[in-house]
Amino acid sequence: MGRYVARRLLATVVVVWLVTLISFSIMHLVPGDPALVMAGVGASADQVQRIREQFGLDAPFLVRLSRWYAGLLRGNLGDSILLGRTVARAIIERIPATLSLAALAFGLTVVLGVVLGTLAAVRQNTWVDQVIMTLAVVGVSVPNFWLGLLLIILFSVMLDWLPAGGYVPLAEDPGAWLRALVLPAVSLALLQVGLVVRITRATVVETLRQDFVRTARSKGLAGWVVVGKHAFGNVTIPVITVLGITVSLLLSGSVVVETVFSVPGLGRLMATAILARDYPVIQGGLLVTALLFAGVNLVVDVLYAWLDPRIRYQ
Amino acid sequence: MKATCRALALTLSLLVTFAGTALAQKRGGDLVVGQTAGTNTLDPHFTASAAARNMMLGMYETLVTIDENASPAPMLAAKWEVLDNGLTYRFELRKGVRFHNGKEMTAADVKASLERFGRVSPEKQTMAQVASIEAADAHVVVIRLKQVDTSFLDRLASPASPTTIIPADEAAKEVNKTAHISTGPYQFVEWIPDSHVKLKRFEGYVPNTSMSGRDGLGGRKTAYFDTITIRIIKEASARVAALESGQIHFAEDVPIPAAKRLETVAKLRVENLLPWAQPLVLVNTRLAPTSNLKLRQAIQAALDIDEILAAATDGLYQLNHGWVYPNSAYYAPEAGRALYNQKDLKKAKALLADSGYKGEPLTMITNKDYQFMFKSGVVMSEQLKALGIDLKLDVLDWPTMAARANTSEGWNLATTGFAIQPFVGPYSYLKLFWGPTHVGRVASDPVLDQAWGKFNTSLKQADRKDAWAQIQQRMAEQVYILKLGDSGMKLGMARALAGFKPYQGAHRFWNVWFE
Repeated sequence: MGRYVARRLLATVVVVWLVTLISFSIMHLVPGDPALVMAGVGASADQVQRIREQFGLDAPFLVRLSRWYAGLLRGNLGDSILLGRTVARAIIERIPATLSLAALAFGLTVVLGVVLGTLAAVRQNTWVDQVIMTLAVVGVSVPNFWLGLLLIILFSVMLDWLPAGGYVPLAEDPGAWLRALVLPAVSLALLQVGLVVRITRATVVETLRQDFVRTARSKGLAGWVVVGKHAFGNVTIPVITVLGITVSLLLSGSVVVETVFSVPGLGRLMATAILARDYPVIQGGLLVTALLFAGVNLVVDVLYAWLDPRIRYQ
Repeated sequence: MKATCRALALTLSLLVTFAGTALAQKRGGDLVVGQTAGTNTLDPHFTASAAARNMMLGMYETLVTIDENASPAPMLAAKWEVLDNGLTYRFELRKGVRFHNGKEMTAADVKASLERFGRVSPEKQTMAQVASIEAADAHVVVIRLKQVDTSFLDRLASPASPTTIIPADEAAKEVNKTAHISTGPYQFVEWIPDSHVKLKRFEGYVPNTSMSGRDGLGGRKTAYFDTITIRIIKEASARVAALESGQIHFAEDVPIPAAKRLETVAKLRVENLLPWAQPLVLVNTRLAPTSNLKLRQAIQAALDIDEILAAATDGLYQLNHGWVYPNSAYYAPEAGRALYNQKDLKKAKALLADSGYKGEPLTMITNKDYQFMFKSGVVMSEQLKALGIDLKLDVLDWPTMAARANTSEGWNLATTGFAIQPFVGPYSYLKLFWGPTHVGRVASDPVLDQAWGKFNTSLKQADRKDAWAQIQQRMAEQVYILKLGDSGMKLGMARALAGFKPYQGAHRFWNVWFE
């Protein structure tokens, strides 16, 4: 197991290196100039050139690339061109909002997705199943910006129960923090809930048809023991895979939901950076995203072995 | 009895009304504002965006500022004199003005602040002609120029990137390292980038008692609110929802359809900020076929501006051939007017035939980040196709478009807009309409050289006004750029918000209170 993890970590380094290399190349092939954005309309060629020099944007591609990697090896992600701060600080500032939102949305996804999926499978082909599966299809199909706006109109404008947007740090006021994040978390979670419901239902249905379940039933075990104790262990592997992807997606930030609900998170940071060609922020953000995806995948793989002792890594 | 009751009721209601008027301007309350964009910096000398102005201008003050019509007006300077044929400016400061840190503002602070502005600001060319800044005594500052710069006072007063006066010890700090200290009626509390800026009333504020009320960004200012929070709500529907639910009291840039609905909500009202910006089309005079003057004139003659702006602005626009707004001291009512909004397809076709145009393709670049640019591009491209021009509309993202429009290749026409320039006046067009950064990629033009020369050296405003009219006429005759018109912005606000008046320089929340 230790050797497996070590090998995977090594592979992660390679993957992350490739991601940063490709993203660096793509961003520099895309037209657009952060120096122009920063200098503003009517700036002289000299001013633009001075900004280019200040941020090393006038250097050849390979020089810039090697400078960036050299900085990275020293733990320095560079300075943002437009934000007036280091890239690391810009990202760290956004992490609490994204992490809070992701945690709440993930909690909703796990609880609702797994419970409803299992319920639909156990009550297969009844009205319960049909209602849950219809809702799951709706959840997967509804665009989350539209859902977000509907939720705002209902719960904020009409009922006046929850704020229409914004973010309050947890340390400042836990109640306000939760109230601010309920609507964005629901908008963000619904798509994931739809996916998890469907995969959970399919896997539980499949498992309930297995011989060992029939045996358990024939022993006279109660229905919930069969599902909860015997069948459920076999359901976790595919569900964990889907949840792993969900976590990665949630952690890298949702541009749309963060914009609709004015949550200052990583997704918005990246979107703004891309639109302004703030290369160091884009590069740093993609590095963090790549690390998150690779890290979560590693955790999922390790979880497989822990959950199913038959899985052994060679 | 009935009559008595009625009389009593009337008296009572009059009393209530009277009391309401008497108590009208009351202190207190926490104003929450929803604005479309955030700022990357609140450095007093390093900002140059409309979003930053809204956040800063309640707390930062300058030596001189602009009045309601964007002409220079006193703020921290009580008065000024122009001496030595325009080479020396002598400013007398108001006495007893305090910074947010409690210290009194003196000439040394002004000197240090302006020197820092000259070092770090994106608008540092304001100080390019300054030979020396001298603190003659505690309340007199003398600025000497190397050569006459007739726009010096305009630039010093411009809010585009304000020449904020900060304490001298703060002025020694690098960009983005200063505390947010100045002399405004509100003072800094906190700034969470991409989330909000919070200000509170500065109890030590010293108003300009020589003025009777608010005037542009200056005048006599009073802070009524306890705090002001400016929240960044980029999504228009979310801004509208926040306003409707009472979580914010003011929302800028409300979409027109939503504004119509908000007008029917009892607790809200909508005001127009018109003019707010100038949609326009850049013309590349270096690349064929728009290098051909006759072809450019054909395009100019064909345009139906009403049709373009009706689509681009959802109907919130005014026709204006000029590059400054009608209330500006420099407004030139006749220059270029005859060439604007001609809608003359017959003339256009004759000019096109004269030009020798043989169906060569034209590229118009536009973007969807700014919807008015995209919509005006679409309508205009249809009008030009009707003229018989083979036009390709290239939809890019804004940074790509801006970068391409800054070169002479890959585009003939580009849809864009000016926001602060038409408000602050002709001097802000110096680099756009002249020299190597000319927006039409014009290498040289003796008529412009002569007119700008006159504008830059004439001390009399009447002469500068003439020069500006010549510039405007020349830009239209040569079709270096196509003016579309003036567009507006809908501002939604709580009905209880009293004293607010739309203004192009920034949203002003001083002399504004809750009823």
